[in-house]
Amino acid sequence: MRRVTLSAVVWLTALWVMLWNDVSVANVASGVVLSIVLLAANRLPFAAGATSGSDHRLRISPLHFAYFIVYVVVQLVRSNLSLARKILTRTNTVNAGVIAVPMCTSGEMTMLVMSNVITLTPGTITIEAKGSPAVLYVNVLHLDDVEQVRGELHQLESVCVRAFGSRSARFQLQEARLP
Amino acid sequence: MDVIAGLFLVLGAALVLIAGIGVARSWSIYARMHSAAIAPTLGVISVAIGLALTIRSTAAFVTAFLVVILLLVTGPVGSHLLTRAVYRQTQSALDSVDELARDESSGS
Amino acid sequence: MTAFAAIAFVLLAIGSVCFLTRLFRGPSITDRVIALDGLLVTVICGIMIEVTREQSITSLDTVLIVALAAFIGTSVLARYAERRSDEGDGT
Repeated sequence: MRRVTLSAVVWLTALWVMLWNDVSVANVASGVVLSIVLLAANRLPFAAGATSGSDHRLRISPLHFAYFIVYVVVQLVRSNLSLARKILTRTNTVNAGVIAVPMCTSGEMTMLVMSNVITLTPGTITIEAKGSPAVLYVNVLHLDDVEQVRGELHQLESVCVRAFGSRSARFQLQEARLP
Repeated sequence: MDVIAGLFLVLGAALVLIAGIGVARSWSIYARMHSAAIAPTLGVISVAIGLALTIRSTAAFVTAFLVVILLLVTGPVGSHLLTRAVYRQTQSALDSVDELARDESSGS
Repeated sequence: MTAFAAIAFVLLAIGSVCFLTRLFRGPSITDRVIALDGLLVTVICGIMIEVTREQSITSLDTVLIVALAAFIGTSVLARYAERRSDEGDGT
């Protein structure tokens, strides 16, 4: 019953009510019942940030979270349009490669969100993620400058950690930025 | 307002067409995979914006929003699985650096 | 609005011909999976443009089903292609 958290039940009930397009007592009640049943019955071992200690719990700062959403939307539009332009003009000269991006901070939630955002923007896809040391392997389509891509992904990591990182992850980020 | 919505519809269809051109014309499998990822993200978002600007009812907003969220969440999963399947085939060689193979062969 | 929808439908038709080309020609199974996913996204966009033209949202829930079917089909076929390339020749 560890997976039945309040935020998950609220989110799933909101989705259920949105699917029915009708906010009524029956919809909300059936949504709550269904979400509790589904959350308790599935076998996914994922529990975001609910591990031991308060150092690993996620802390969301609203201002940085809004900046994170805006950053992701801007990156999405930019990479889509740049890839569309490259399809139309630059043909038959791709330079595909796989680069390794070592992460400065540990934490599963950051790596999960980062790999999803990387795969969401066309031009980069996450192939593999290794646990210790925390490394992401990213397939880049037009790989002209390896260090530039690594710098952009490190910037994405810092935006993610500032938005919803745990206290230990923020501390690691601060240590890594100092020199 | 209808002109702007119509322009968004045409923009979304043009982006799906560009994705199709990229898939049909590219020589490398990785180029085809990245080109096909344009269509579910920006193509459907543009068409959904055009739809929401034309039909301004709550049901249309909510359903279009749900479709966009569903495609944005499930799109990367499919792309990730496909890229792993392509990477394991030895025939599709990469053009440039390959640091995953270097790390795996060195045993780290 | 009807003129814009007509232009959009013509563009979508040309795009679906491109995806069909890759579906026929693609040397490996992964190419065909990508082409099928692109065809389903074309169907999604087509249904949404038709809903905009008709101004009635009766058939908008179909889009959710098609998106779900595209995701499940792509994932299952990708896992099959990976497992097959582990065992055999992988084409």
